Amino acid sequence: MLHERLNFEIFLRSQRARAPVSSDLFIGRVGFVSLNWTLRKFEMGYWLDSRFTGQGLMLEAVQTLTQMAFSTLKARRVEILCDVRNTGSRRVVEKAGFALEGILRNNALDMQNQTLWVDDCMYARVQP
Amino acid sequence: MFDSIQASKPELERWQAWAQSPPTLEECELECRSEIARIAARTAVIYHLLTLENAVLIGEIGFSVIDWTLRKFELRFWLDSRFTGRGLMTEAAQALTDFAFESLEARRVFMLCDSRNVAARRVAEKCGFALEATLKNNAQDVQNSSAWVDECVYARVE
Repeated sequence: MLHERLNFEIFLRSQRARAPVSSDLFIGRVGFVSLNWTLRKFEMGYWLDSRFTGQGLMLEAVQTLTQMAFSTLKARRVEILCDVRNTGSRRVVEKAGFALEGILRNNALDMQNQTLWVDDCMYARVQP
Repeated sequence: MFDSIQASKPELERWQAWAQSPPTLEECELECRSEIARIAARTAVIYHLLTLENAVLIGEIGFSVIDWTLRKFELRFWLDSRFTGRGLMTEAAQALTDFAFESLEARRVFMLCDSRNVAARRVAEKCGFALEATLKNNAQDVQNSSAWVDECVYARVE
């Protein structure tokens, strides 16, 4: 079964003047892990190289993609789910203006321990 | 099943996407066969609600969107309009949810419904489900695909 995704790779622009695009550094990925074209509902996912966190780069990527979802993809709803314990991710999402709609309990398994159920935060931004 | 759906057209049309073009007698039979197949393939658990007096079908209840690894089940149901308001669906939902936790080792049983579907919300609340979230613009109005609606997520967990 086809599972459609739309991903963008995140590059850090070289500081050198007129540096070629090939010298930019790959540092992560941001995109839509689930797309519903009928409902115009898109779920966003992302990750960033640990060496580049804490610099506002993930926030910039999330904001850019959210903007693109609403203007280009005509989104009615953009959602982000993350483990309730992932405070780094939650901070980025909240700064990007997403509302915490609720906490879905026992919604997923811990990535590192498949016998442990974890709660997910459901964050969303909507087009009124 | 056909009679029950026909008798409940206004209420079913209001909240159920599948009821927008009510099934014919033949389509009801096809649906029953499809349900048997889904139960055998373990992609759904479906029960028919029958009256005690003469075993007439008055509704359906079951789980769909089952994730056996995550032990996550989505509760869905409908009831013949002539039998509403008597606590019958609450009784069925309570029994099925308990069954999920006791026999299917469920970790999460959840239900999604239009936030305006007061009757469905009451069933969930009476069965001890917590309202975890209201998802804005999560679905289209089943009667008007140009209108977006909010959906409530109710859940009980182990």
